[in-house]
Amino acid sequence: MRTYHEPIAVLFDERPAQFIWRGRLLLVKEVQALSREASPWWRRAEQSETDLLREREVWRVEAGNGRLGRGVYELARTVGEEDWVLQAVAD
Amino acid sequence: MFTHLQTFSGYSFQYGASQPGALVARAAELGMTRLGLTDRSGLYGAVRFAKACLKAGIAPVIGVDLAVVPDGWRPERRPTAARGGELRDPRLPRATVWATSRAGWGYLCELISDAHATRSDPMVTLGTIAQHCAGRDVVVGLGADSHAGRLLVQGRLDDATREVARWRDELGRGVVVAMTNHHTGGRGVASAHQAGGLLRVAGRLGLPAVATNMVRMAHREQAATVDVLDATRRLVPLDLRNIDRRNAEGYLKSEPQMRFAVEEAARLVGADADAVLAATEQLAERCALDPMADVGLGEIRLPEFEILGTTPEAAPRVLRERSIAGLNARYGVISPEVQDRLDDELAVIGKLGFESYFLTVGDVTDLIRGMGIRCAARGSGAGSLVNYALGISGVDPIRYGLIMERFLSPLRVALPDIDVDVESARRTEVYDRILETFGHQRVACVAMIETYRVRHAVRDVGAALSLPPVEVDAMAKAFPHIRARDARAALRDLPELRAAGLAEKRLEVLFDLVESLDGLPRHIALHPCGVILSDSALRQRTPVEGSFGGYPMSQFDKDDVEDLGLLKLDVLGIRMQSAMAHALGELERTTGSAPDIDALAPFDDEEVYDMIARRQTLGCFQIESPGQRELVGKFGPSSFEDIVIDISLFRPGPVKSDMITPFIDARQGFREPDYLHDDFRPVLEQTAGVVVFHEQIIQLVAVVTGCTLAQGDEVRRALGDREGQEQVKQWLFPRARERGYDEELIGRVWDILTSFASFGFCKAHAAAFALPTYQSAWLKRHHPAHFLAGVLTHDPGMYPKRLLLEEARRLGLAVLGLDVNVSTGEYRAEETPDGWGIRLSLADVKGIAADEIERIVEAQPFQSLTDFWERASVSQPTAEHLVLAGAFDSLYGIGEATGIRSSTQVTRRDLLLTLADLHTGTRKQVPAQAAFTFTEADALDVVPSGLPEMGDDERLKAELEILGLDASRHIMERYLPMLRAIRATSARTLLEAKNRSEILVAGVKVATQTPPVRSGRRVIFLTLDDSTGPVDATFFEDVQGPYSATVFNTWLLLVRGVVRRTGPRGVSIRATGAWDLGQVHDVWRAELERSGSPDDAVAAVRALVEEVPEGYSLVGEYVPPEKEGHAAIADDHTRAGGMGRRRVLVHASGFRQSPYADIKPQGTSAAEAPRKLWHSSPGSAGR
Repeated sequence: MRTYHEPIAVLFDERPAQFIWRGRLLLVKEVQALSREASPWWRRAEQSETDLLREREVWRVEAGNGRLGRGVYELARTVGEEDWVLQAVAD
Repeated sequence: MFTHLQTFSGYSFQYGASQPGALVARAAELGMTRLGLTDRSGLYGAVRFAKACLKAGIAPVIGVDLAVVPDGWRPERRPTAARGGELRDPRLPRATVWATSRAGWGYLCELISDAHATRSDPMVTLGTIAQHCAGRDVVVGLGADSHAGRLLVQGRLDDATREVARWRDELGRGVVVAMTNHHTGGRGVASAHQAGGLLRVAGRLGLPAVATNMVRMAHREQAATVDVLDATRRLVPLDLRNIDRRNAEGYLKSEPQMRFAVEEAARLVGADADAVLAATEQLAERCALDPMADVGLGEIRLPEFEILGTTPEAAPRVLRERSIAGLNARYGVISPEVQDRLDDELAVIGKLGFESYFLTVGDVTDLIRGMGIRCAARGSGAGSLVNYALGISGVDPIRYGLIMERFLSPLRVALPDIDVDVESARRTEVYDRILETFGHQRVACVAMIETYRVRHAVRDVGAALSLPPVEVDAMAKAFPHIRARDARAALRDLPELRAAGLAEKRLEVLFDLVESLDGLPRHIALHPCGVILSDSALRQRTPVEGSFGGYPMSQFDKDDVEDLGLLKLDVLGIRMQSAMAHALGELERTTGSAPDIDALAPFDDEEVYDMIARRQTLGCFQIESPGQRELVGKFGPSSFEDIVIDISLFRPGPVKSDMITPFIDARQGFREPDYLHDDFRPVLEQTAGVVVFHEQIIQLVAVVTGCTLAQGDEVRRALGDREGQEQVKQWLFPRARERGYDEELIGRVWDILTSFASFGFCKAHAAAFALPTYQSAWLKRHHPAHFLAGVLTHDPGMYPKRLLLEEARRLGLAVLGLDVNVSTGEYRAEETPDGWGIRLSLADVKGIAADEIERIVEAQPFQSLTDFWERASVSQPTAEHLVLAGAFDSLYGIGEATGIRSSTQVTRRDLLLTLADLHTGTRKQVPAQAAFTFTEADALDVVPSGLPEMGDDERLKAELEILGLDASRHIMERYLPMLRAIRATSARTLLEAKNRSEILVAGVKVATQTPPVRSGRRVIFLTLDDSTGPVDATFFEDVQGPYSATVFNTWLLLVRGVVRRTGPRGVSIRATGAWDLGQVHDVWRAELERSGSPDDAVAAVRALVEEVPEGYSLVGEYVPPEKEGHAAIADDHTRAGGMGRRRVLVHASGFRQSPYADIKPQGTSAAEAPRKLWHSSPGSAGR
């Protein structure tokens, strides 16, 4: 797998449905894995109004389109936000 | 369709973050029809859970999550971590055990009891589980947290398979594999990878695999609370190593979310997700319990008749015979009235099938009396003639107009409540005897689940967040004892909290978490009095564990026990009963005979009532509080009935609805009693037309509608909420009209019913209380030294001991100092040439151990300090404390400190020197030339060194520090010169003060109370003792801002206030300021020493008292009750200002109350802190 750190746009409805990477639209065929990890909120507890629930999630999906064929992509973001990043690709 | 089989509620103790009811509510929202509860190590929450399920129409699946000791496991021995650290949680693998039927519930109970049997940490082995579960109605689940699950995390699939196979071999078809996928990534516990591994193990062994979510919270948003619980449970600060969760997935997920998680895991190993989900539902169906038939809600389970020495057929006859025998003994002749009443009661008991209940309770009270332990019934049970006949209660229900229906009703098939008060000091003896008599299989104590309130929540969250312990401690103590969820409301409402800086922004996360802990169980303890008496199947109905003191304790609390229909007897340890027993023992010891205080009927000793009317009730049961003393002063009870009324009036309800004033007015003849209608006269006459008792409500309803008393009690209960009130109204009005009452009258009756129904007091309960009240007052009147010795020894009251000593002095009793040759572990009455005195007890010496007291008493008398040191073998600090507190004074003839002393007189300082030598073993042989100063040859141990004796001040300080008592003189004497100089008013001269004059009073804090008052505002009542008597001052909201912290946290106070005359003997003080008396005294002394001018010193104090507190202002809707001006009114509102936005609780009756009324105020209670009385000022001038 090659690693990246590229901001991308993802259409998300309970799970990623499609995303645009380097100008190409990729459709998600299957979710292979999901992982979520909480952050140690107590280290920030003294700054008020932090979201104690902040988690990063990584979706490993199989995606592609007609011309390019399929590949496996890892899409990551902060849960509930739209700061999507493409972090790895295996094709 | 998905069922969460594995769910942890708050009843897993610092593990789950949600109440069972919240979990059920969420499952219902998600459209689920079944829900599991698998709390750790017990069924603590199961009954509540089953009840919530029953209400929500959800089928409960109940199991337990147990720690399993793997073969060959040894607890890790690590150096002790901070606060116990991780040693608290050995993180053993776990297994889940579900019951599939009523029988299964029984096996579950026995398995859990077994898990708790030997260790403090409950745990089982595969062997224990197999012994209780193999081939029975239970299913064992091995999941992500099991030993096999952990082997999978290490990549040892074959070992994991072998481990599960071992369980299957023992348990056969009773084993399932449970996978959980929390999407944690990696290969850890509850990762998709591990879940897949569990599916493979199940597939290899042909076992069913189910899916669970190991739920610890109803909602994802509670995740931070779960972390705090992990850290708190392990007594460590929050850190990644110390918390179990990696993300917030362990909540009640919906079916699609669960399907997604299962599919991810199944895909990894090529398993069939649908099969897993189907197996989950199959297991759920198999384990679904019926809350009534299986769990046993709503049953009645009494001891078998055989254990009571009778049979089901003979029981009614036996009960009747015992009742008649009892009545013959009580009355001599049974009148037709008594006979009828007995027949009625026995008919009701028979109809309900409760013979066994009464026979059991009767046996228990006989048992207690047979042990020579004082015993009295309390509660509505005193209304029953059968209870009176069986000796369960000691008050004649017919003579005092008590009715049975309030206690036992044919319309309610619920076990009635009988509470038995016994001597607190001998309560455990009673428990032991009950256990012995009824057998361990039928008896267990009731548990009490302690839940988070604000103080504990602040402590635990603060510790988890690694805040400095000192800061956490100060924050926790600043709060009154309120619910955790009200923490922020209190920050808004209470000025002293804002002044302490607790409303700061940086503490917001802390208080968020504090509020989230609200009501979660944190600890299980033995209920102070509940004992379950049931049949021999008790241990199949409840798990039993050992209490801290070693008693078998059910895992259910009193509500659970009631829901399961188990007979619960409250055996309360009452210190007053012990105090009276001690008084009687002292009478026996000193005079050779003790009066029979159980034969004081008809309770008509005028001297006793005279003492009560003079408000000299300190130490008396129920009538000693400041408020009660005021009430008895106004009321002047003159009969037993009056005491019953007095006790009933002094309750939050009557005080709230202001029943006291109309009653006192009518009673003192200031106004005519109003009976509304002649028909009501028999009901209302006893209380001068004011409704005081529940019984009167019941009887009023019966008179107005013609219904039975039993129905009347149902109506009374229904009046408690608005919904019920409406129903009663629809029913009552037509019936009353039918009986010919006019509309206006019915309206007035209705008003009385709605306003008093929830506030009245049970007369039978009050009558039961009135008995020990009278007994204690009688003892105080006729044997004050013996009585107060009892009160001091068993400390039943609300006042510090020093106040009781003060009371003894006022009664002309001598307070006899500590004496190693006379004092024992108890306060004793002692006859002196000048009458009776009270000898101080060794038990109050700071730090003295029980066995030290025992050795001292054993070895008495002592010839000398050396003799004492050798034979009593107490610790050096204890001996030193004894010397300093004057325990050797009489042995060495040490008297008052005077200017002129013989140089040969030994002083306490000499004793201390000797003691130090004895301690270091360097005591030289006593020089012979000292011999002529002593007559006793053995006393040749202490040599007078010419050191001066301790001064009066030093002695007083030593007494306070060591005994917590100002035994030799009143502590206020120290401040008298200043108080005279500034012309402070004493309690004795207060009556001479002019109305509306401004005065200063001072004294030792005796009590602070925040009682409910009608306006809905918080009012602080402060009682001071200034050695001439008690002084009461009231702080209204306008002065609480700048002064409440002083009132709550200071022990010696100077209070400024305005006098209000309330009557010829009534004076109240409306406080306008409060200061630490010690600080004021320092200011006075410093100025006096500096200038040498008494006038300047007084002026300095005046200046201090007249200083306007910074930022002091009035806010809110406060309207001064009187016109006179206030010391200070400023416009700007700062954090030290007055009350903030005010919250008011509104009752069903329309009564408004402050949320801080009636709760224990902040600070330490007056009884706890007497040792702090000595004021030490940090570096003030002149010291």
